[in-house]
Amino acid sequence: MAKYQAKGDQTLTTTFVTALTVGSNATTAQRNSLYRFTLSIGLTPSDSQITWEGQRCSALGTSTAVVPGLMDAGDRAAQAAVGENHTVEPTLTADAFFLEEMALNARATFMWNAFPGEILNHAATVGMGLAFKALHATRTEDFLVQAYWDE
Amino acid sequence: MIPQIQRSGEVAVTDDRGMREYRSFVCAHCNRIIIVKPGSGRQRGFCLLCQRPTCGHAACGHCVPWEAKLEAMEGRRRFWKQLELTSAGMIRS
Repeated sequence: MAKYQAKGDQTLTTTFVTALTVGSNATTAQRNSLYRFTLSIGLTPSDSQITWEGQRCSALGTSTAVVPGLMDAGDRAAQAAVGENHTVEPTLTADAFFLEEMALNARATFMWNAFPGEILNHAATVGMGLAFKALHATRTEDFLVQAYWDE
Repeated sequence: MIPQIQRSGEVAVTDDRGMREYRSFVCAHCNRIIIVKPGSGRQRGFCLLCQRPTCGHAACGHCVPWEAKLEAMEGRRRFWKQLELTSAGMIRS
């Protein structure tokens, strides 16, 4: 298995918007196994509670394609369909959260690391993936998500 | 076998007060991240068949391992794809 990394950003609005989706390849479906992700806010740090959520999706929406980085330069290019800065939100699966809604101070950076083998993954079905979302009532800065996965 | 208490993932929250670390685990039945907050009073579960913790939601009370759910999702897709191919073949012939 090869390891990959991608970063996505999106501007905060009053409703949940998606910064990054990591999903199955559009022609040859495959599973992606997330083992680490980081959530943070761009621009000036100040006290605000940003609401974050991670949810599974069955269609990846419309986004700017991201070319995932290789953690080992000798590996093949990533197969995952990765998108950032969504203009059409992914089709989210109801109540299928991998990260339940949580509030995080805008000054804080949140990093999750899996115990080896206890990873987050999705079915090898076209359109399936994992979406990272956030909202805030007034702030309009960019929020950033970095994800690391095996495939 | 590694005891469950040592099989935890890690959450690190870094801000201007420094870094705080929390233990986390992934539900054996729904693959949801659970962040352990000591003293929160939230009750979680433990599946004796999977020998792994669960999130405590009612839907995860019965043992259906996440891997089995993934295979079911993938199987449905394969089934429908096969059906499309079969019906396309029938239309052609």
